[in-house]
Amino acid sequence: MTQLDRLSVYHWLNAWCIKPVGGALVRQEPEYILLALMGSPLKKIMLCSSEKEIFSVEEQVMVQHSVIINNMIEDGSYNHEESKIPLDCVDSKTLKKVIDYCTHHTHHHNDNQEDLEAWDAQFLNVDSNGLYDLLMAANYLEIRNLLDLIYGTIKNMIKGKKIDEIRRIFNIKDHGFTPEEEEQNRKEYPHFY
Amino acid sequence: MKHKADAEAKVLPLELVEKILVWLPVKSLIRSRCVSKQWLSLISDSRFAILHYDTADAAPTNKNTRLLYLSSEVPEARCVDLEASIRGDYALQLPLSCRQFSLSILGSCRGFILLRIHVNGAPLLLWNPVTGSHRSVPYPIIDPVPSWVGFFGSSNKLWGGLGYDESCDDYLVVVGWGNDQEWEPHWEYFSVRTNSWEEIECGHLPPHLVTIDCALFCNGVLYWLAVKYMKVNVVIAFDLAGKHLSMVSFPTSGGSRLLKLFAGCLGISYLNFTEDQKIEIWVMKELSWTRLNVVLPYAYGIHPLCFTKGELVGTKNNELVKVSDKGVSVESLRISCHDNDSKMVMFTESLLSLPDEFGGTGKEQGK
Repeated sequence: MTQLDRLSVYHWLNAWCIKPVGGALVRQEPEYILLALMGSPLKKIMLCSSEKEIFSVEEQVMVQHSVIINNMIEDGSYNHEESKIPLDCVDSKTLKKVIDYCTHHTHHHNDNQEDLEAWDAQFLNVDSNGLYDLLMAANYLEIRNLLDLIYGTIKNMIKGKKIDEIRRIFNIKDHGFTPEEEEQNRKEYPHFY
Repeated sequence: MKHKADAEAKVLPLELVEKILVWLPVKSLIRSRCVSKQWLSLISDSRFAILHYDTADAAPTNKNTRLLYLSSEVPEARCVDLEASIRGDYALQLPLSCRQFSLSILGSCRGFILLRIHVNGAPLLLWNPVTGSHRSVPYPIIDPVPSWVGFFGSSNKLWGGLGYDESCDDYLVVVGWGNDQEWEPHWEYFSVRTNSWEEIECGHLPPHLVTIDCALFCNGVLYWLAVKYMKVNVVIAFDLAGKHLSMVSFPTSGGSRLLKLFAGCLGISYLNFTEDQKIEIWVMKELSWTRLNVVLPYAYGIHPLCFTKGELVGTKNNELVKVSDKGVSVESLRISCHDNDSKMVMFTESLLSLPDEFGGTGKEQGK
């Protein structure tokens, strides 16, 4: 058997120009395939926060978690050479946390349930504003498991709380009830207040 | 609500608030109505009620399922969360018009309870205990005037049930009456949407008498446990979409007892009077019966109510008892109610409203 030299491989790949990405086959530049075959570091993508800060993250990690990013990569609208994915509604601090979450869950998905849950609890140990930013980001990027985690956390935060506490948690300054309506509520459900 | 971008006082947009609220148990939702006017209008919306109900129902076990019973001591209904600790029960206000009367429960479906008021001339009542709304069901107009109207103390028997026809977003009240002597039973159903009664063809069934007044609604079919010739137990099924009555056979083993809903399927608990005295639980899936692997030691005197997470909950005299699969009593709660006089029902809390109430509809926009 003749040894395939790099050039031959290049030409062969060039002819086909296909590569599996996130479970689908997408056209790719042959140079990248070659790099991948040579065992280069895992493919990265660039995410750009609202503050124009660039974050480099493994493509596989984001594709596994974010439906939006997965779609972008799959339909080819993301060009690895030059593009960065602009995320204008996510600030740097939040984006970093989101990337943290996705990276941890990709690399540690074989961990046992308790360890993962402990990590998640620690991860969500943030103030209200931070939690909302995460929720908005997870909603925008459509990261299902992070969304479910946050919904569950907020749901537990509300359970059994008094009305004023719930208003504080949700930063509701103006509840919109007239003084008479508020009075009526307090009369009807005194144990909620 | 606008999303404030500054570092202080971030407020979640309403779409995300909805996505959180949809997971809350009904009790928390009632409370949440007081948080703000926006939340009140969101939670009171019938679209949200449907979304919330469907979300809860899609889970493996509906977390809003409760046991509701009519207290014999005070004129109120009480609710117990059987999955959680059965020590905590809470009161629900009965509709004002029936608080002074003796009541019984004929059935429940999607958060509504079908109540029967033990007074000559009183209509049946469709009641949502959570929202408090209720609607009367007028009498069927048939000739002669049905004697079930003044039924009490006679050997005639009345039974009924409440079901939901998904194909036309309609609730059906099914009522039947007869006696065990020679009468042919008579069956009718009432459609909430058309506000009228229709007869149900039942000539093809052998003469039966229903022993348990409360029907079980499961997957579009209403089921009753019935006794044939005072001996053999059968199950009568009414398919709501097809408006068709039929009989369902089940495996005979031991003395069959109660018909209860287990994990979204039709289940029967058998008291097996063999040497080891077990409670067997059989589940029907697609018209075939399988016995669940769990067989519980028969704790004498317990009427099984439901089977949750490997524990059996049942009534024993005036107590609600939770029994582990070893037959050991885990928890008990004294309740002022007996299981065998139609004062108890498993129901799912919901915020749903009946179709055509207040001019709105259940599902569609407009009519």
